[in-house]
Amino acid sequence: MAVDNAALLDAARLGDQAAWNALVAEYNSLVWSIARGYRLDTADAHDAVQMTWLRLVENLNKVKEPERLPGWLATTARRECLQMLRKSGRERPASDDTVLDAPDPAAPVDAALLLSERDGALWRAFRLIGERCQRLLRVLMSSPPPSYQEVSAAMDMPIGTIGPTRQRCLEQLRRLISADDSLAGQLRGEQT
Amino acid sequence: MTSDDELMEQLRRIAGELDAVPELVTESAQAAFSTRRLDDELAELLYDSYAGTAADVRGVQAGPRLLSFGDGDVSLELQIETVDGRLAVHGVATGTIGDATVEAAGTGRYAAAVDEQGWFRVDGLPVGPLRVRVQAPNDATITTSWIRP
Repeated sequence: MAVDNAALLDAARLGDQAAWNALVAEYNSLVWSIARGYRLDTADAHDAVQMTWLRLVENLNKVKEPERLPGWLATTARRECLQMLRKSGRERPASDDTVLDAPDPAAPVDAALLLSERDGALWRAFRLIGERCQRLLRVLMSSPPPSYQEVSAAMDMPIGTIGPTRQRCLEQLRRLISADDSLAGQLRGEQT
Repeated sequence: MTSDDELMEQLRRIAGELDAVPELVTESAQAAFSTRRLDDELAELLYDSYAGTAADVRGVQAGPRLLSFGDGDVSLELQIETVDGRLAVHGVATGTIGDATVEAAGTGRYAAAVDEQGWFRVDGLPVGPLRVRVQAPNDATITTSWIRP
């Protein structure tokens, strides 16, 4: 574990803002990635993340097992996102086959232009895979890399299914990539 | 061919460049800590008209949101609606003394006089998370959980 959750939680309970900020620094990427995996736009994702941390503040004395904190945050964030989607009527059944037709909120064009062509193509391909795969891979992209326990809480799926699902989702991604010859070549390490 | 782990690592790097946590989001996560209130009792959420399973909700929810909270002899019924882009909170408190306080995350606190029938009202709140605080006769402060309208 990169940070000592038990010590940070204890310090936060005593009112230590620096300890709280350390928890935010460690886990906010995870919480953010969950909201973005649901394809919430920046404003909605901001709200969901804020609510998740507000809930931790009000439950600070109830999180008894420090090692479960990231799982607790992931579960709370997922629920906040689902509530937000329900509220705006955008929720639909998740399926690996579902390809979202909503505009991509994550990749403003000017930011994409700053990336290398290869990275940009990879990100576009990522945005074309199934909804559930996008959610899973986006959570797995959080930094520091999440444990499967955290991913399980974020996705509400059994730990044992994460590895095989990840493999299948990356396979989807590869199929899209291989449809793009130049990108496929670069991924094989060829010079362009 | 790139291995799964390598591909995942590439994606993580791109996400870090293209979709990093915005500074504002980090700041509000840090600021959440200032909402901590050590001595308050958290009232239990008994009913939320916006709650429900995915299966039984279709379409955009319309109309005011109704919530009910309880803690011992204290109960709190809330109706929250958006009027012209601002929030209106209308509530009825039973088993409480004094004013109710509506707290909006990051923007402040609004006192609301509770009338003899227990009604109180705050209008014109900024849209965002809020919670309501009331006083029990034994001086305990009862707070609702955060509500995102």
